[in-house]
Amino acid sequence: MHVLIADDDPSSQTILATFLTKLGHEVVVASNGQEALEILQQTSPPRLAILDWVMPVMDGIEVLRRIRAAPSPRPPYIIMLTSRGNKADIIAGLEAGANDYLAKPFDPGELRARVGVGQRMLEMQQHASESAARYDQLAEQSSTVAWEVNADGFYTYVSHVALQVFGCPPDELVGRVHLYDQHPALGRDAFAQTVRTLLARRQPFRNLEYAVQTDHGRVAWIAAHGLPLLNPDGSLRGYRGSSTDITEHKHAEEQLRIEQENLKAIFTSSPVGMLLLDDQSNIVNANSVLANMVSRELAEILHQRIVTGLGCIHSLESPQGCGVASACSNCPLCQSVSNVLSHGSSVRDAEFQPALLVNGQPHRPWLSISAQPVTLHGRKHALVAVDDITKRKAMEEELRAAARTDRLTGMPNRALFCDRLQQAVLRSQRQPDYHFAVLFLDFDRFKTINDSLGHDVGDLLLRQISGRLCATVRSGDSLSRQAREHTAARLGGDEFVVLLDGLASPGDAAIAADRLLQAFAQPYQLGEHLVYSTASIGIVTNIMPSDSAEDILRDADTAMYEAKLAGKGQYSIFNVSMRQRVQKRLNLETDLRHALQTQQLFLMYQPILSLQTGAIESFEALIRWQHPQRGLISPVEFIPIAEDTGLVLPIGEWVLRQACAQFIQWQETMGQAAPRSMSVNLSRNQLVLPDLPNTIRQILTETGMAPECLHLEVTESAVMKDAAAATHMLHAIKALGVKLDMDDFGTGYSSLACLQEFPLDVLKIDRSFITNIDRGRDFAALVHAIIQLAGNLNIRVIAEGIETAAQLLTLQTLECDFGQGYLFSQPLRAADATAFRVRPGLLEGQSASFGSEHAV
Amino acid sequence: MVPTQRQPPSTASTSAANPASPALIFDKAALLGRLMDDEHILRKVLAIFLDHMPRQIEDLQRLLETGDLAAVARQAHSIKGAAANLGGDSLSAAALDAEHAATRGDLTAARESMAQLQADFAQLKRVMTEELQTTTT
Repeated sequence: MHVLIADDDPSSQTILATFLTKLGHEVVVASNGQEALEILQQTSPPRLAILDWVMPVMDGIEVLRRIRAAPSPRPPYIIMLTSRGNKADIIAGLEAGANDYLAKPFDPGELRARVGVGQRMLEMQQHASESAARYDQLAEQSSTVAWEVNADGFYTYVSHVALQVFGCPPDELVGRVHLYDQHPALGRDAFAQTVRTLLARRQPFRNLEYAVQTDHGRVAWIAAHGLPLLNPDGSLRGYRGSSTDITEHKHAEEQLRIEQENLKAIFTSSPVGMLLLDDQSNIVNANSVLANMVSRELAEILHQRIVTGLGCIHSLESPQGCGVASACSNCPLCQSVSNVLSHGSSVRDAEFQPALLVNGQPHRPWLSISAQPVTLHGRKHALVAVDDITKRKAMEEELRAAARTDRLTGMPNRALFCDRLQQAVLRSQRQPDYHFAVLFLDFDRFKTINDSLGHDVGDLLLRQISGRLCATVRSGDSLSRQAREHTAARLGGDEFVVLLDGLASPGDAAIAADRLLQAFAQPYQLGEHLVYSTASIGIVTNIMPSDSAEDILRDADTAMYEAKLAGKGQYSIFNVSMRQRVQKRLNLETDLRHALQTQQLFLMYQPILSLQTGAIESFEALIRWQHPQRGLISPVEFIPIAEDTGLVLPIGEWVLRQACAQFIQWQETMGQAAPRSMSVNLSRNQLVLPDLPNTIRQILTETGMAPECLHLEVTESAVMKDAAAATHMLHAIKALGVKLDMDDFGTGYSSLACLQEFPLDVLKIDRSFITNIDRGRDFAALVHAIIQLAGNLNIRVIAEGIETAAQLLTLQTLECDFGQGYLFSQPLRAADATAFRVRPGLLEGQSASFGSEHAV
Repeated sequence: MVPTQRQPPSTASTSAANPASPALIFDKAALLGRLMDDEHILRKVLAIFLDHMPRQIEDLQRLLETGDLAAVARQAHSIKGAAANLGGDSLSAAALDAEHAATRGDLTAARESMAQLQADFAQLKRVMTEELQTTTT
């Protein structure tokens, strides 16, 4: 030990120094009080000092007083040297802060003992101060506030950490604040009561949790522990304890609680199956939806491995299942869960068909699975949502099929047909010996049947056509060399197509077409109706293929159209010239649209004469098209186009207006010689226009045409399409005061009905009767009967297409009133019409046949 | 062997316990006890003492002449302590008499004690010198 000896007497110094050195101490010597004080105030001063009472410069007691006046973390142990028996000095020394005293001359044993006491005391102090320092350091580093309160609950001590934990320095708490003042965030009164009860019970308490509004403005959660401190008499001195900031823990706990509640809510309320799996693929939790999916009780599933819990078998072929493996490698369900657990990767809306054993039976539901990794209690888990989408998948499949099926007949539709056709095209490009053909079928008279007998009957017909078509195509399997299935499909309306897939030779297509024509030549029994609807078939073979299915269908359609034109109930094989014809027609259509504006259309007039007098009764206005490049184009060629495109309506109106205007002009220029009336054809398209009577009235007004001078010609077929509507329209037109002529009379099925139904003024007997009138008695008899009937009904008769004098003579004999035809005149341009006169003597049988030109 | 005390050495250690008996001039045993029987240090301490004490006594003499009683008491006190430590019991006792007289304010008594003090020191010095000479041989 480091010891100071302060004595002014050198011999005494030496004696003491010698003695203490021999005891093992390190000795430093001072010869007066001042020196002693300086030594004791060094940075590392002696721990024990022996001070002589009386010294020069400064006495020992003064040194003592000064040392004790200055606070020191390690105060020295001081022994006073006094004269033997000087009690006053001893008392004064002890009061000034001396630890012990020693009388001079000192007794060696006593000195050794007293220094030993000092040394032990210093060691104890050292120990206590280290212990305190240790405690302080620990206390400052922890997030736990150490505190003491008195019996009333006031803080008597608070460690420095209070600043961090409570947001309040200790000196603001000590002596001023109750333990329960630290608690504004919960019910203060209840908390204070709790604390008072605790203090009254004098029991230790643990984990007293409360919230503190700290000076930083945050709310801190505190957990306090406390031990009662008792006085020797058993009364309560206070409590000593610690308060720990558990805010983070509390928040984490709260977060965990919320998450667990959320998870629970998700499980119970989810409309889809839910699974929670631990890292060994054990089912930690599941919901009843999932249990129902595999027809099990929830309890049967829980705590099982996923493979056993769900009865997962990796294939139906080995229903013993996946064994003991936690996830089977072949099962997509197990695989996706395993991926989530081992790689932490999420799965979203993965759809697959795992093999499950449900009620002992293999079952392959379609499942949609979403899985994501979650960490629970520090371990990886997988949260899995399982939705049974089997029904949806079935519905999707149904929709997919429906999208490719014709609803009426159940046959493939255009989309499916085009798919297969496209495949055939590709195959034919790869395999030179592969052949296919497309047959395009259109059913003659279908529209008439549909319109006249109703859509229900029309649909019935389509279904029967479908049945026959499918049966015939199947029976034609012998045509197929490569065991491919032919496809028959309905494109819509009465259009059907057949893909003959894998023909031995393209020529086989014609054999199939023939077989179909035969099948469709038979009549159909549709309820009470027996109807005929022959087929027109267009054929395209891969000899002349287009690259796309749509182009092939177009070509087949073209060929079908050719077949129809060539006469019904036939087939026609597509060739390039057909495509050219179609192109030509398309060009014509474009040109026709411009023809009206550019005045390429014009009228010609064919006279209608009295067969008795030769007087001109009327002119029939006939349309012509002067094409700038192609010259004169026959109405036979362009009127169907006009009808198809709707151009027939403006053209018809133009014709009517032009004819009326011409008539008025003739009246003005020719006077008495002018024709008495003008005949204009109405097309069937015009007849369905509700506004037609108004249009006619307007044109009459515009041109100044007298209604009774205008004859409007309608064909029997045009009015019979919808007889009721036509009757209504014809009466409306008749009400304008114009005359109605029935054109092509005798060609329809219900000619006689016309006479009764419609307010007719004139019948024009069809040229087919007139052509044959002198070739047999029957025709002449028919014409005679018509003339007689008309006469009785007060209807006048015109014979059309008179070409020979013999025909004229017969008609004169039959007392037919009027006629027209090449015998008298072909249609004339307006300028020529005014000059027209019947050749003299013609009516008297003086001329031979006029010619054989066809009337148009 | 030369006696170093007025009475036989055998009684030296018991002198303190017997106040009636005259004080020892030099209690060598007590001093050796304080020095843990180190004869070498004993000689060194004696040398220091013999060198230092005459000045102390001179200082006391001078103070007595000035009549500063408090200073006389302090100086007497120091001599008393130093002598006691060295085993110079009779010198210490003489110094104590001077101290007491000065403390009482009795300058005359203090001056009168000076003769005994110097006599005791002379005696002590002689014994100690002998001691030093003896042990050096």
